Amino acid sequence: MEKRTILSVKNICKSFPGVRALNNVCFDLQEGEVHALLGENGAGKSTLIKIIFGLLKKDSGEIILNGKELKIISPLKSYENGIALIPQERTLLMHKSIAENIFLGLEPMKNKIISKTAMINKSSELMKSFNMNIAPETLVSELSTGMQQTVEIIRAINRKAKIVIMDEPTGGLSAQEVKTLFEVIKTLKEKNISVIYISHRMEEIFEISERITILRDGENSGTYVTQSVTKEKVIEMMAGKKISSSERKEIIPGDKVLEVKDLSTSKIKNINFELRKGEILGIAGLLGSGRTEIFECIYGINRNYKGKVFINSEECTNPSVNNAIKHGIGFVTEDRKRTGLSLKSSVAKNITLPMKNEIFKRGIINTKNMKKISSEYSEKVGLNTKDMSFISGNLSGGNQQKVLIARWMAKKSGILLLDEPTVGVDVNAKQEIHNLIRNYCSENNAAVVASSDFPELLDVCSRIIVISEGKIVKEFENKNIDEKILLEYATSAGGKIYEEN
Amino acid sequence: MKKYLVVFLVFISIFSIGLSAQSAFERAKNDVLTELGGPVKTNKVYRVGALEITLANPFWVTMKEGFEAAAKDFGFKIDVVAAPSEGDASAQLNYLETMLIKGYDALCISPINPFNLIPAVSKATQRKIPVIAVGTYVDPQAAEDAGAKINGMLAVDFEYQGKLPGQYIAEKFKDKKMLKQQ
Amino acid sequence: MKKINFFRAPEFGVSVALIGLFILMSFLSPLFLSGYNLINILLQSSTYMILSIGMTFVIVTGGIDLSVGSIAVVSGILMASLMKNGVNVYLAIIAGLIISIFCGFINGFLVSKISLPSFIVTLATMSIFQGAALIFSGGLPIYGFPKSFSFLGIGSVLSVPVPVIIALICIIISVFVFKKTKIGHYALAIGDNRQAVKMCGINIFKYEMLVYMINGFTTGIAAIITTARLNSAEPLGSMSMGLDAVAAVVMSGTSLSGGTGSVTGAIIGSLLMGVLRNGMTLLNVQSYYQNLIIGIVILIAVFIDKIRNDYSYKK
Repeated sequence: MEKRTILSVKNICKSFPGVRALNNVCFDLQEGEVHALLGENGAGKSTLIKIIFGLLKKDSGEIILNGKELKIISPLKSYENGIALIPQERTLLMHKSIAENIFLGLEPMKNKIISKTAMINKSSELMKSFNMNIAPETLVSELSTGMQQTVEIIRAINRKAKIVIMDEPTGGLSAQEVKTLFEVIKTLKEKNISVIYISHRMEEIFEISERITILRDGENSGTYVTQSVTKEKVIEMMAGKKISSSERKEIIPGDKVLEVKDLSTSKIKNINFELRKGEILGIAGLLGSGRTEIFECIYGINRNYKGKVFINSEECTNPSVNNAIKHGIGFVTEDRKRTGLSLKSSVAKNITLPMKNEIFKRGIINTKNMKKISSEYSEKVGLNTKDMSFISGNLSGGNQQKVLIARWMAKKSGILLLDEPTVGVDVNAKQEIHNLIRNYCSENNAAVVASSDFPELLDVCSRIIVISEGKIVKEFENKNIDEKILLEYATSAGGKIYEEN
Repeated sequence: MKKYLVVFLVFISIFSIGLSAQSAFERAKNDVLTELGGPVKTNKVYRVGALEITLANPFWVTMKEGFEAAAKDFGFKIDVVAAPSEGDASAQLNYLETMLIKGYDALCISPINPFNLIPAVSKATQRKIPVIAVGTYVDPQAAEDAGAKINGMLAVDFEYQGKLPGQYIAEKFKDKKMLKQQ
Repeated sequence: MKKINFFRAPEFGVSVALIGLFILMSFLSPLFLSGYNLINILLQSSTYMILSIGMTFVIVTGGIDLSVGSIAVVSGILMASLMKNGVNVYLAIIAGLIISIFCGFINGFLVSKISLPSFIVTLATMSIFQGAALIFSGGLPIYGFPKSFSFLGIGSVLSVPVPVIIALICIIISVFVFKKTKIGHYALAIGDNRQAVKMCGINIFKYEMLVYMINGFTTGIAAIITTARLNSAEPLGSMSMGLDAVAAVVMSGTSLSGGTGSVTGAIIGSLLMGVLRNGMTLLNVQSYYQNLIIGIVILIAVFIDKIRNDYSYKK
């Protein structure tokens, strides 16, 4: 079963001013295999693929494609050599059709006029082979994120790509879309095309890949056949130390702090739950299941809801963000870059942003207080910088998330609402954030964590409710349940599957 | 009807003035020279600064050419500048203020309005630089109040200019009443 | 350490340009460094400095105000006609300031409450205010005001011109407001990430309104100085004022997308424009060439700023 090696990378070194990004990294890719590239943020994954694709220049080392060393590497050359990169951000023309996107730059000509029929026919042929049954004339902007990604992959195939590099392909995808993507990858395998697959999500890698290469601090810490290793081993290799998932403390729930009664909007129906002091409640739901909607009602962003919200047994009669904050609610949103952080501002400013009297005295800023509060809480959450004037946009994802959690801790919010708290965060930071939430709640606070990352919920929550299509389909105590059960309920189409049986 | 006729005739008269401009200029020059008794011979080359309203208008461009021709004829140096746009009164004032320190022996100005250059003119007066207003005029009362001395004014009275052809026409059509009725 | 900090400061590009230009001009023209000329530069830059202060507040929120020139005209015409009709000078000044704050209020309301793009709103109000001023004045300039008013434009205290003094006061107050108060703090935050600020329960409407009103206020002050200095109010006044103020602010590394910038940078930017205009007039550069050169200098300043940005991101 020895397969032919199509690409091999030998002793690659790359330095940026002040950092050694890659140090003697070796790595090889066989024909028709899915090779996962794993590592924490900053381990050098992106640098490595950028060098292979030609976006960055290597300092030393060699890249050998089909037995020949590549001297000049540039994105244009890579396309000619049959290497395609599917970046995290979509690179499609949104207002053009699928066919036009697939043939961008390679338009079939007939008498010096672009032949639309040829383009559409060929596209639909390609799309069929990927189980994409829609008209090639459809505009790309009308497609879901997952479909757009498939279009991008088809475009690469159309350019006779033999190697497809995917950088965090499941980033914005729902569970169903991930499934489709895996089907696409399988089709690629059948066509004997190799895939370099970069991801954070351990589960996916074990499902799809044949071999795993793990990078740590710019060095290769091993290549394994996927079936021969366990998740724990891989995590250990990535982090370089054993992460103990700290055992859950037994908590005694205190007074009721939050109660939601018959909450309904256009997207959610009759949501009921309560939250007690010290508790961490999990909301398990896939993308679009209505989990964010629930938070938006409680936080006062969405005021047009039916039903009642009680905070500390007091009904919210006039919902607004300001009131929610006053009553001690803190909301860490799903998209930290868009709705969470002021990216160009300092860490101190971000932590103290919702504060009023704590840092202002008759409208004038007390810089000392601002610094004091922010250093106190950034230390508490274990931020990796001591410099409070550090610009938040330059922090890593995990640290940005910590800044947002520090914000609400500093505001002394008794109820934290966390929406996908560890999305795009590396394994180590993920663990730290989980510990943070646990510790904070053990200090007589409470939290609601909504996530589609079910192992995460199982790790931190004491109770989990599962929602699907805007309805609560099941509530669990976090005992003797596993990911499979949660997923089963979460994909149950609002519980319809169970009603039928 | 009469109104249009008047406008038409005004245009004609302006054109005819324009056509005879060359000879008019020569005549004026000779008149001035005889009045002054010929140019004074000196060894010093005088430097004159001229500030116009704008150079985005043929009128002022022609005036600039006139300035430069006269400088050649009479043997002095001249710098002609203008404000960036016709309405930018404060920019014009800034120009004149900066020109003051260049040590010109005399200044010719064409103010955008009768008041905007007065602050700089009064500074020129303090420095004993003679200032002549050309083309447009400076409000004499305001200038006096601000201690600004205008040594000469060479301006067109547009009201008078309009009145002349009007009078001429009125004179010609005195007896023909039907025209009035139309 | 300090060197790097200076290099990373957003004002770096424009400061370098200013210093460079200063040295260049003093070589090119022996008159440039004379005391009279230096005061002259300050005097000529004073209105731009004041305008750029308000503009900074607007631009850091991610907005822009093109209507500044028109607001100044409206305010100037109103003050002038009131004084002409025998109204007390102080009352006229207050009325002028109120109308300019009101114009800012209109801009702020349309931008913040109705959430229209500031570029379009102020493009429209620029035309509206200008039209209103023309209608009100009948298109004719208004001349001749009491001496106590002219003093604000042409007077001087201890040989420092009054406009320079007014500008200095404005700078000191605005630096404080920008750095130390809620308004400056939140203005920057709104420009940085509007959604995030909303999620923190901050009243965006209030602060955005305030920002546009501050811009109206500074424009009003600039209008007082200009009207007093020229002893006349032109209904066709300098419409380019607004764009010059924007240029001065942008030169200092303030991004038009908001979130970064400082008043000090804008002041340096205005001085740079002042030195440029002054120096070129001294060198007898015609006004067309002046416009051309100013455009090039803006590009150079922005370019230096970009290099600085790239450098500090790599670190």
